[in-house]
Amino acid sequence: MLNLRTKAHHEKYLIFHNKRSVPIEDMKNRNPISSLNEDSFTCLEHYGPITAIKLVSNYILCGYGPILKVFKLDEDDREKLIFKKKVINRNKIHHIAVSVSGNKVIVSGGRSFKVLNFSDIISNSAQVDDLREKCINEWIICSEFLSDDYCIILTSHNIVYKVDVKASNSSQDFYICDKIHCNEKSILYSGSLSVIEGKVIVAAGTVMNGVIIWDLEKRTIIHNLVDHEGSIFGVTIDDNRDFIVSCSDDRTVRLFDFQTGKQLAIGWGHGSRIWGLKFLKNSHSTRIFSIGEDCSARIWEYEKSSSTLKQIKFFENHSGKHIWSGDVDDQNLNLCVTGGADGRLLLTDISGIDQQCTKSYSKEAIFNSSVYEFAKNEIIKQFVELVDLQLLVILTSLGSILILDEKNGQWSKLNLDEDEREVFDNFGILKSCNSLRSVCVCSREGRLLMLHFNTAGKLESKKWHEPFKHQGEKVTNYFDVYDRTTGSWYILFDCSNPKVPFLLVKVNFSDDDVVISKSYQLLKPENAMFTCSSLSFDNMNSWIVLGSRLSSIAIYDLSKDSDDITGNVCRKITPGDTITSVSIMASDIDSAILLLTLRDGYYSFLQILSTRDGLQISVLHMSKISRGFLERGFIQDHELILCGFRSSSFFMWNETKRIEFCSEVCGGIHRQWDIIRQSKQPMSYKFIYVNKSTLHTRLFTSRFSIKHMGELISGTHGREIRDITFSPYHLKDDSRLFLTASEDTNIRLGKIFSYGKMQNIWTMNDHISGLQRVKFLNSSFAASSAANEEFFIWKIQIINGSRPFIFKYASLPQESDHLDLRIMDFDSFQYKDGMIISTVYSNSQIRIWFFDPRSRKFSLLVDDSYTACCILNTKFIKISDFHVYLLISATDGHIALWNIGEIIAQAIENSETESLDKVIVKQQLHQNSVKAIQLTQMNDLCYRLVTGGDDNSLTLSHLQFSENYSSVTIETKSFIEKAASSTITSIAYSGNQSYIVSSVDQVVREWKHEEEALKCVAAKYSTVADTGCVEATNFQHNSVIALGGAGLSAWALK
Amino acid sequence: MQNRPLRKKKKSISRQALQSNGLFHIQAILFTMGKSSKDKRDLYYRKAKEDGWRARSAFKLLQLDEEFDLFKDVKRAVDLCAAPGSWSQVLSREIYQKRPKEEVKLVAVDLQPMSPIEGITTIQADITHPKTLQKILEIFGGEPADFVCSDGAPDVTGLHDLDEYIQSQLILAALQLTTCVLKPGGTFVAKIFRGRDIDLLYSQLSYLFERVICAKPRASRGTSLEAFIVCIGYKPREDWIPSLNSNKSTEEFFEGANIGRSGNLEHLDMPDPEERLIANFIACGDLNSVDSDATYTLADSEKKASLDPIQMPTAPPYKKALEMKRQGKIQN
Repeated sequence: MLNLRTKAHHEKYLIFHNKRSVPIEDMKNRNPISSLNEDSFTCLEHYGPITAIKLVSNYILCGYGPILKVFKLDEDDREKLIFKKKVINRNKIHHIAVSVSGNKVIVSGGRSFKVLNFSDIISNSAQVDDLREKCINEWIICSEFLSDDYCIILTSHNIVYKVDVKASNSSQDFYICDKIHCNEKSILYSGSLSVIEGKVIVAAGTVMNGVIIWDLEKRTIIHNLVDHEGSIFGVTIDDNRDFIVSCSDDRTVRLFDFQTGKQLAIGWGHGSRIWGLKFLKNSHSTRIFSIGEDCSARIWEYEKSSSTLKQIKFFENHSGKHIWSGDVDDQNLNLCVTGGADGRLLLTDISGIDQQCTKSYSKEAIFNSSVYEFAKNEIIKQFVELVDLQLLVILTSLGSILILDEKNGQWSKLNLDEDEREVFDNFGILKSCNSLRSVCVCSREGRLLMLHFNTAGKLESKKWHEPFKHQGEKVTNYFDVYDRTTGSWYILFDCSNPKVPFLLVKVNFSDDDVVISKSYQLLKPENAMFTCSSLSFDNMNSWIVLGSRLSSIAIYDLSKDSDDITGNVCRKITPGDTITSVSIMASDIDSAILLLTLRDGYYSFLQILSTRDGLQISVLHMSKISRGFLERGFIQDHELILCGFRSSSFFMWNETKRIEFCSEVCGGIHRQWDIIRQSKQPMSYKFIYVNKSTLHTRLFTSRFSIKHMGELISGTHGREIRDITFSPYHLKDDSRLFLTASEDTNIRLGKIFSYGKMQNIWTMNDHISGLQRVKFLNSSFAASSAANEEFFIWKIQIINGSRPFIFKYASLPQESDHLDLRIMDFDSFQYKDGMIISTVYSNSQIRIWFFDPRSRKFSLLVDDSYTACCILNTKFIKISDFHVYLLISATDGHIALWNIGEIIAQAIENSETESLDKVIVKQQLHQNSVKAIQLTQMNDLCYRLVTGGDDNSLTLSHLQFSENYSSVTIETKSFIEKAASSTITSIAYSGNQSYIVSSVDQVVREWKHEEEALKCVAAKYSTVADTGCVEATNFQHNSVIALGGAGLSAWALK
Repeated sequence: MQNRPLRKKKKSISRQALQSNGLFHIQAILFTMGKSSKDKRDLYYRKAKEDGWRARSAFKLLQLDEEFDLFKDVKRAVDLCAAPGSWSQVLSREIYQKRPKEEVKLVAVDLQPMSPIEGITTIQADITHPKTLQKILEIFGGEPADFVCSDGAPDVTGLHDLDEYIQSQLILAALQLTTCVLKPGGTFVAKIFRGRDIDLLYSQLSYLFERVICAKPRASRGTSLEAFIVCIGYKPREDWIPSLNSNKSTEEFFEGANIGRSGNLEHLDMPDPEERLIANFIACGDLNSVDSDATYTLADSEKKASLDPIQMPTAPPYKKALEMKRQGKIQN
């Protein structure tokens, strides 16, 4: 019941515009558990939505929720985090502005704002801590300075406050000078203030009534632009007041003439709502930067003759949903900065926006330069580049060889006799070896033409070899690999006859020339065709690894010094077909780790172990990219780089960071293409391809290193996090692995350090529906569940201190065609040589499985159901193999308990599926959904059960077993009706009788029980909205809790 | 219906505006049921179509009534943010059709047009405008309302703080009109999002009503922040005469009502702490009734019968963008 007091009591204290707020002790309504002993919690790190970004000269100011982070960029694009402080208590920073002098900064969001000195930010001065957060009683849309002494604040009611902030250095006593409106009190979703020499134009984006442009001084409306449909989410005016640009729910960007209010052009392209706009400053063109819900950032150009804005740039490097904030600088930094719901702060280079980076050589152009005349049907067949010499060598379909000196753009023709040329007529494959300064041309009959160049790039020798001795057999393909340590260049010949072994020749540099030093016969695997599609060499173990179709590899041990070498074959390693690349990632004596890429998009890491029983191959990691055909993969600076084709483009993608850093529209997948790392610059690649009989070379040069990729903050999931789990295994660097599961259908494996830093390692996209749960089962297995009946077991391992690997090890078969059937929770315990796993469903089903890790098979032991309502949680209580109980909680407010020990034993013995016995305890603890349960053992016979519900309440009960475990009773010891002001979503046990409880009111509370009575001992507001999960873990010296929802926070617990 | 890819969750929402005359606007987007609505998983969705309700939210009001007997002795009721009209349908069936018709006066207000419902007078107008109040009172013959309800919610952006703010503005806009039209002792029911500052709203409402309860009907999904505030026993503030003025914001309207809303302090300092209160929570609807979180398997015969929507959703603002995309006129 509400505690209602007399009317007089209220009125005594609640006077508006009073000098002080109401004394706490006199307040009528207090929520004592909204803030309590806040010092018990310390926020260590937070990752979540970036709600404001402002570029000021070479500083990047970023509103990371309530935290202001400031980075300084030096001339080499190296950033330094110079300031990081929570400057606003409860609200998120939605807007940042800097005064013209550059002295003052105002951050605002929600009803709050704060004025800071830029010098204090740069010096990271402690004075910032003394500043008071200020507030007006309405939602702030944006704020700007008129001068260092006055600022203006636009509210969501289309009212502008003029505030005297002179005292921002000293007393902090601000004054409202004026409250201005234009007689049009629409509700605003967006807006901006254009200030030029003290004259202010307000651009207001309303919920329902288009854009209102009004003059602050005259308090009159200039334009009401109603061309958009739906709510206006962004509007801004350019610095010259020539244009207005706005965006809305209708997914368009619209440009208007500032003078006339006439709509000039529309930009179509965003796939959902557009959240923000900025004008670029380049005076030669009118360009607009936009960001949106579809996770894309775009640059548009206005051409006077066109009523359509032309999209000239498109970036898509945030995950999940929403780029909330962004800024652009095309004058000085040539960067755009974006911040997403994924918490990633990303720089994107726009300096090349007007540059032509592709060089094209048509047949005519080559003729003009080399006087080589292409025959009518002659085309460019093959090409290679000698990077260091900057030579590009091409082979034509008629067998001519042309050489481009890339230093001066000159083409020349290699002198070949007519009969030499004919060797390569219609077929020839070029290979090159940069280190040996050599190019070899291979013919259909297996003849090799070796070209060797001197350091000046002049041809030094030209020799023919005939190592392939199978008369009448046609060579179908050649592959090569260079071994840096021994300076050996291996070339492999494949022919279509399965009886003819692969020929492998070893080419070395000797006596100022390249010579074939050795050749090997590699016997082809029997039983099935094995067409080589990729090649690699491990020098540690002298293993040659061939990749083929049907996801198969063959490994040949060259150290076995025989003429004919038999390979170890492993087929169907991963889903997918053709292995497009294989490379050695790490190797040791008798072991190696391989990286495979498959054209279908799969990539995997394999471990090869040489044992007494032969070579053993096992999968360490496997995943699939969702962006097209995967052609190549390699590790550079510990980052996994993948390349391939997607619709009409070629792309390079950093899978570790999940950032696409190159793309080129090349007309789709090509047979003839290459990507060559340029040795002179660290982050430079050349993409070479032939399209429509023209040779194109495109140089990709990234401003940022492969480790950096322009990412200033790495962030987390792009949508709400639904569950967090920590590895039971503590790593040597005082860290733990952890997994997060999100609505974005991804599982992320990361590392959390004792000081709160969280590092993402892998993002797994095997699930196709939004996640419900993820849990470590032991130190090497975890499981996750989702809708669509998805339940996966993951294997997680670290090999010799390597980066951790993870892959989907097993999955439950789907039985229903009901896509919405969710596996809400699961639990497991070790049973003999396997695991007993329970799964509970949204249709009230309960299933218990035996999982055999060796066969990766699940056997269904128990199949039954509860009622018709959705089950939310499940826990096993295992006393011994015979005394096992299953506990569930559901949306009907009940918990229920079954004795399942005998049934499990029976089901396993008879290999049959059983039903549950009668429920032994069914007790209502909450009015509706029991969202969270936490079970701890008190003694041999008693368990303590803490539950939290949608009804805001928390209970503590005892599950008391009788001496022989024949019966069990439940007794509620403590019931807190108002344990939160909203749904309790999760309870973590941090040891020491301390329960950490999260709820949707964004307050994290610590509860302890004194003589079984729950008591709230600490409560603190969290910036993580839609708070869905909390988990606790211990490090050597401290306890850390992780909090997930729309963001991810790590807090230390006192 | 069965092959809905979960990855591409798309809401089929129609926009129903609450107010639009250009003086004070809030958009209220109600979830209505098109052919491809988001949550077909719960039986309420299907049942609503079968029973002729325009939206499944009808069941929420029915379950609230079951618990609180909301319609007892109600003769004059106002439904705000009414379109597409499922709550008005409930009022019509539960009040108009069960009482002597001449004594019942029911009004539905929305910015959007609404197809007629028996016994309901529909006003297409802005609820913050004094003229709307005047019209309602004319229909009521100068008598105050016994019951006011609002099921309005904004089209959420994903920024939780902003969405919760807009929702609170919607509730305050409804509450403004309520304070002008509701009889002392009357009841007010509105949709809320149980987010971070909901205890501020509970506290403020507790000044205006004898009982303030947060109610969660079984028909409302447990995974959603949605709940309903049931405010029973309106007690007008003494020495405060609410008056609608199209030039006043909601903040200005409630100035002087002394309900614990913090105004601007002299130096714009934070009014910390603010008055907060946790309202009593009541889950309503029988525990054995259909669970909106559960997955139900339909009998094969039911599966095939695809039901037509009772009312097609209105066109979204991005309709043209979708069309252009479909025609291949938009890249990326």
